[in-house]
Amino acid sequence: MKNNLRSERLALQWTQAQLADSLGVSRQTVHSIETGKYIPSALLALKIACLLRKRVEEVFRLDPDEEPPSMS
Amino acid sequence: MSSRLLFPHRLKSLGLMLTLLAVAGWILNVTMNYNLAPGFLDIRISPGPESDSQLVSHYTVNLYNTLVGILAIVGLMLLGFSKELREDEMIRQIRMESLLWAIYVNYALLLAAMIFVYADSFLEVMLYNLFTVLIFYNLRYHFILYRQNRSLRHEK
Repeated sequence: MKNNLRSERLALQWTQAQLADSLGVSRQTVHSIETGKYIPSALLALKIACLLRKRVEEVFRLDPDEEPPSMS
Repeated sequence: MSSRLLFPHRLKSLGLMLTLLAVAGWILNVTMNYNLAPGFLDIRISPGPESDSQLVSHYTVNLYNTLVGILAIVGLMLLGFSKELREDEMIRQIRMESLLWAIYVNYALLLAAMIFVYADSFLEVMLYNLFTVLIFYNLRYHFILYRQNRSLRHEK
């Protein structure tokens, strides 16, 4: 799963520590999400999107090989 | 791993202190060829009622190794299972993975020992095996945290 959390955070001029405090997680967790080393739970992803005032799919997106097969 | 099963964060430094004391005690004993037995830790134990010996009225047992073992177990448990300052979902995942990893490594080594080590040497392996799950868990868990903190130093 890819994300553009870093660019969205920098656009709001927030530091990792500020975002981490608002989310109630550690700075390491924010850093790991930004670098793609950790995939957040659905709850945390929704909280992040909510804080950034974006829809969750604007912040997080699936890799092409992770997309489910079409249901049609 | 549920946070309510973890110890409070303030006990982590106590865990580190007890673990270091246990390591120091163990190294001291190894350097003295496992003969360290301070007299003030001697206790007298009566043989149980099931003992058929009429000749022995009591045994003298030294509690040094018992004390080091207790320090090691309590210290490693507190060190490994105390909450972090921010006990979040990623920390919980690292804990779970480290615990699983420690169990795999521990039992792989134990299997190897069962095949290749026999007699008194195997008893020694079993003695160390009492502590190895906790040791491997702590090593891996704290190594991952250390690696993450190191990669954070370059970030704003």
